[in-house]
Amino acid sequence: MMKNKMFDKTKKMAEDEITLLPIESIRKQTTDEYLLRFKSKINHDPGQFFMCGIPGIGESAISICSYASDYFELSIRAVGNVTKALCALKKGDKVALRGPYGHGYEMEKFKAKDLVVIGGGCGVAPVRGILEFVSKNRPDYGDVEIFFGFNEDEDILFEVDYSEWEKNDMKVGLALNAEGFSCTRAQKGFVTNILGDLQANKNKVAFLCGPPIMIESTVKMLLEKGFQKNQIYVSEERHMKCGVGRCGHCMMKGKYCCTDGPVFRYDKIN
Amino acid sequence: MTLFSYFTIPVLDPIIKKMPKNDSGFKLPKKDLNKLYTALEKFGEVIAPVNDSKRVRMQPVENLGNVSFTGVSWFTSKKYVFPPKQTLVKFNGEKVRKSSPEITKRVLFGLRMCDLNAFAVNDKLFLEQEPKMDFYKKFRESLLLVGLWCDKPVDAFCFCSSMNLQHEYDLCLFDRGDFFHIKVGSEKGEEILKKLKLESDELIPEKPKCKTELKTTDIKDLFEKNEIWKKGEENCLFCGDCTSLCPTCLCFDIEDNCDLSGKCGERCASWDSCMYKDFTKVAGGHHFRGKKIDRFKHRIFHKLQYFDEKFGRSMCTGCGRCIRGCPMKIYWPKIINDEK
Repeated sequence: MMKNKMFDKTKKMAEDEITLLPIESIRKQTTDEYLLRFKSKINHDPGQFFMCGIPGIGESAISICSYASDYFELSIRAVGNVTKALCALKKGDKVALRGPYGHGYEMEKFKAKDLVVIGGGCGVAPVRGILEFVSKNRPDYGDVEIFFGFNEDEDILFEVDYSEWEKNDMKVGLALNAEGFSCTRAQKGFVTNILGDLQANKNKVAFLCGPPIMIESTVKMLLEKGFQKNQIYVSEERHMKCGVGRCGHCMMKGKYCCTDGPVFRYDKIN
Repeated sequence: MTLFSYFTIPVLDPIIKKMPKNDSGFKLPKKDLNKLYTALEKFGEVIAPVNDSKRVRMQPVENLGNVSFTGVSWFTSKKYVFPPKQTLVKFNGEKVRKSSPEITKRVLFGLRMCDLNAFAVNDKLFLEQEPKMDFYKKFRESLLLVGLWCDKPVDAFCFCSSMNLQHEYDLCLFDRGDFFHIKVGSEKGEEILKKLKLESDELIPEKPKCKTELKTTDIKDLFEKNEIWKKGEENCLFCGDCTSLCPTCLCFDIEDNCDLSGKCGERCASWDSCMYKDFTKVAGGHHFRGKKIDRFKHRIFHKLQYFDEKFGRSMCTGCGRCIRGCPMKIYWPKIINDEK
């Protein structure tokens, strides 16, 4: 059925179209987060997103959290009207998709660099694409340090992947903010509390995604550590409606988050 | 599987084929105005500003006799390219199909330079970058724009002489007392005028001197100075009148409307306003421009700075409608002028 169809980042946006695609699998990750997998040929950058919706309810921008050529996964938190409806779907139900949109992490640019990947809450989803990409092309990249922060045990996302990443010579750090958690690899606090040992050097690039308050405090900390603004890449979140740089909802000081972003080099937006 | 596109169509013809601008034009005696009407009517429905007791409005006319040649329409003509509510797709169960707008060919007569330039601004946003917006393109192609030159400013609110406006029209009328000088701005306009066999004429038009001005559109350095914007923000009701009256404010929302079964309905683009708090609200409740001052500044900076950075011209055309129609009469150019 999907033989002739491909979601392609190189495709001109003029080919922009809605595709109804059945869910191949749906997995509950936390109390309110679900991982939806779709089978389709796809060519994308980590950090790009789909406009993902249900006719009659609406559309929502969801970033791609996987990196593969014949399937893609979307991690969705049931928090608004559309996302609640999406999470209530079952295997085989169809989702209306447009995309992939936006500028993601152009991984080719970072070859031979040391990577620092920092995610908070459901903000770990877009950066998981980076880690899957690196896992597939491990010799091309240097050291990889991962720092994820969540609230409590139940909120931890992609826990099954951590040991896989560690096998691939990536360091995984985890921070949990709630009292009395049982996860053994986690430390108490916010993600900024586990950045203590992180050292800055010229060959490092940092990728960030998370809630605005986390981005703000983490960037501040990285700059204090000696990172330059052009070594930091931030995946921004905004209210998106059209996804093609017209509707104005996602505008941030003259930049459209949907077409100029959602991944910005920090010096370009601040 | 259903495939369709609602933002694009593949043909990439430029809509307005630019003609060289020069001093030449044609002479139309005022008594022959109806000849022009007949020619325009052949193109499509003629819409012109008419003084409707309280307000000048754009409405269909049957001759050019009752057209207001002195007033400017209270509302903009943007609805003729982007209706307040435009259906993008219709869906019925699992079938989703693209919806094409019903197009009426129209002549917009008596548009001022500010409105004509607004079309050029909107064209930049919707047509000069990929993907072109399909319905906008269709509406835009069905229009013939006939301008009317302002010899003097319409009222105290407009400030177009500060905005570096260009000649963007199919035809434009210049009132010369007992005749109109008509300039041609496109092949579409030339086609109309050819049939009238008018005498040629020469005119170098003079730009009107507006009573008010905007000293500069370079306001980058004022962004951090919240204290100056506070003057406007404190009075602003955030009612969104300025954005709905602005000829270039076309930020839109996309919403799904469906019947009670939740299966049949349509997805529409409808006008929205960056002055509303919920414009930037994301699921979870965070407002990215939750502060009033940020919203107040955003509209003005989008008009003067952000659009310029991206497309090389100011988005504001100086029509003054945002001030004329503002219930609090917030005269925002003064905020900038006071600092420059």
